[in-house]
Amino acid sequence: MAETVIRFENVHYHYPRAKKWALSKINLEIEKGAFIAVMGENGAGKTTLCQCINGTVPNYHEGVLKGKVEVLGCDTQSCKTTDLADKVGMVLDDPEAQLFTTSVRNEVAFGAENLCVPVKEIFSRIDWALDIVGLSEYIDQPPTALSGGQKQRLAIATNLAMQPSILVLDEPTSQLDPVGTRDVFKVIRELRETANMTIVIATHKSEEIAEFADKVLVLNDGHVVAFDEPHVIFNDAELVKRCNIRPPQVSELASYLFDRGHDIGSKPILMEDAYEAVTRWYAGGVQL
Amino acid sequence: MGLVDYQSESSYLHTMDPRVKIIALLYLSVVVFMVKSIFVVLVMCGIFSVLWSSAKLSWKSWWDFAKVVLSIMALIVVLQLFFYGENSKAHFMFGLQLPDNVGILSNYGPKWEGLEFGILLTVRFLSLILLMPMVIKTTTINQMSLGMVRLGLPYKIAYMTTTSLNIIPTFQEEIRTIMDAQKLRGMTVFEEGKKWEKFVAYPALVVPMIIGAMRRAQQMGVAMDTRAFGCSKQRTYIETIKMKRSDWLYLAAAIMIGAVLIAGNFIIPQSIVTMILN
Amino acid sequence: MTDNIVLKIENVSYTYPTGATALENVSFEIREQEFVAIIGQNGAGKSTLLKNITGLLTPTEGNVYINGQNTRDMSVAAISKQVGFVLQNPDRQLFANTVFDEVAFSLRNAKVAEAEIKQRVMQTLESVDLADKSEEFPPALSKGDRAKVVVASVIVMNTGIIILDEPTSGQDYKGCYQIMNIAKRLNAEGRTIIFVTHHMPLVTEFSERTLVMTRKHVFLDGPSHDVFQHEQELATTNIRPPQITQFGEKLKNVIPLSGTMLSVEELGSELILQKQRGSRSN
Repeated sequence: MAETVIRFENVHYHYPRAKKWALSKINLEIEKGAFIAVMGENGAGKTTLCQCINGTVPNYHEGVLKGKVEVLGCDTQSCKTTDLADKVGMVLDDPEAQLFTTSVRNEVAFGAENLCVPVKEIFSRIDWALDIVGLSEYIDQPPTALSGGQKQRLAIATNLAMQPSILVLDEPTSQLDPVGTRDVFKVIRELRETANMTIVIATHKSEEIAEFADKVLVLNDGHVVAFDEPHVIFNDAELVKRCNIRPPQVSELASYLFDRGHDIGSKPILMEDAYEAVTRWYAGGVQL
Repeated sequence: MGLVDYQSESSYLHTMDPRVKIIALLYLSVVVFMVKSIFVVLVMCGIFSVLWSSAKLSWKSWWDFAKVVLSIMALIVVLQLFFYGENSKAHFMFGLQLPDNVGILSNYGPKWEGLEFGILLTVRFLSLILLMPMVIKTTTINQMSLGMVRLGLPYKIAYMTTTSLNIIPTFQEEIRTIMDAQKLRGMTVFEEGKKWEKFVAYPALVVPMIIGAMRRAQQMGVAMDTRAFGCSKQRTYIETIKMKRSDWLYLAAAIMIGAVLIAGNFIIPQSIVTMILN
Repeated sequence: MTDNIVLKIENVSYTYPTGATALENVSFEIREQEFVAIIGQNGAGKSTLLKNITGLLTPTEGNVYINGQNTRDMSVAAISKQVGFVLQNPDRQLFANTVFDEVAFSLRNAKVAEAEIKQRVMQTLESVDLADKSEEFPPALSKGDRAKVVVASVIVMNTGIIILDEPTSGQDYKGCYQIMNIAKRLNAEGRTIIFVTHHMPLVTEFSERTLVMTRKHVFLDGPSHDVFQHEQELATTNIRPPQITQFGEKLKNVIPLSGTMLSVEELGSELILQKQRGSRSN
């Protein structure tokens, strides 16, 4: 049983001067090395939840946080965000807003410089991080010269240089084209496989979630509505409708057939599983 | 190419240690304001122009901005023209003085000294807008903040200053995008409208920009926090700066230039007009 | 759909002042009341094409004709009376104090009478379900609502052609579909809709015709069903059809499906049809 690296205990939070609670009664445990997808409508609390993990909430935004958020043994209300910087990395949805130096090298070095890592060590971390995200050849370029997908990969690299064991990504692909999206997910998968990094990603990309995520956390109006494996979540028609989640298209197909009296025998969320189920159904394996 | 964008060239200024540039900038800025003689001001502006040229900097970028400054200074010159030296022995232009029986108003009328003083102020400003961009355009952000830190400035302040400079091209880009967006909704005032119409229409450009800037600033703040910005007073720097012999020479030269200009103040007559008309 | 050509792009090439060519010899025609999707990877030239259509840029070579008129003879404002453009990032244009003023902006620029403005704005706000928020401060609204305000501010201009640039950017599932359904309704009312997107399911669900751009020119242009059949060629431009279409193609190994499946409903109904045929013949 892997250790718990992120724990939310009865957490409530509202932003300063806000009348509504952004998060209510959040109880959550995330294990080391897990890949957790956070889904929900705009405004459901995904960003707030993500920012609780690295301490931005409440340390940067202030506001009122009740309950306890514990990350790798630190209580986020007693540590500063900077204490958590080498434990939790964060990638935001806007590629432009998180890059602010004049070269890729400087950008990646920035965090490690702030942490007083020795110069030699920083250079080796830069090489390692850029290698993982596939941007080594751009080391002398200004960040502004990169494409959207490359910028997001750079943003991941800037966090990697601080060697966190948890990476939180808040809708990292919402402004990217399909190529950029695919590249970002490739990097995330590699991080998981090579570094056993715990990943928490807020996203709407159901097909990718179905493929990579261990569990899906569904938020609605600041509450945790479900926290379960992808196939359970995507096949819960009522949940999906209530929380405005789009399941992978093959799941929607299974529901479509089911609603018309054709049970294909399983509720697939991946194309391979759907292929098996549909061809079996067609061949007469599962009758009406 | 904006006035505060880094312009990559190879020149003596580009290779100069940022600390020398910063000290020289502060020192010479003070000198600019201490100079009272019109001759010295013109010489000073000439010296800065030579320095600018030899650093291979873009005159176009300077002129685009200087044009705007000049149009504002025109107003200042007019004000100085009329209100300079109420009680002094200033000389009215072409004898255009109001008659004595209008009381204090008789002190006001276009005066040569006023014109001269207005020109002095203008040339001072032009010198300043040669001096500051000279440093900004030849120093990268990293070098600038490293220079400030090595001079003893706290990192956070150094960083804030350099980041503000870095943001300016982004603002320019934003304004262009926003102007396009509003043009697409039929806004023609920036192409065809009169000056006051343009002025009244500015909120349509400025509001989205400010809101966008605030949003981005907040995101940036979160990103910086996540990357441990300001977590301790100490910090590693992967870049280094070192004073070379030439840097010490440049520093000495800057101090000398300033000293000569200030000395000139006391030796050389302050006003051409006074010289001629007295 | 009539035969009236509302937009004609004739051998258009565009090179930026920096020397970078973004469009090379692009030609196509769009007829009244078509619903067209323009897709292509980043850098293919889509935004440059849109800027040439709206008049923000003038073609270096070739011509753009809007309702027969050459855009070289028209100002951006004049073009904006015939082509409405919904920008990708709504926050780039929101500046007014209230939703009403924001939507009224373009009408006021066109010097429409205030009484008429009131009627048209309120009507438009109702059609996008924002009538109750007409006095709100736009930046304070949710992202989905802000996007709707921008859409409303374009709809109110009553242009015959409406272009939507990446309407899904930053939106959630509900938000995307709200906007696309508004576009669908406008199309049914007679307007020509052109939209640019990366989100393939929207392309296949809403557009009858798809234009694929790659490396500065038009690569494929035709009914969406035909375009998405060319899976191999599309792959060379880094475009993948939506999951359901890919799935449909895979199933063809075993199940005799006809045509390209563009949506869950299409594939689902086709599967049921084939299954029933299969069991009938047994």
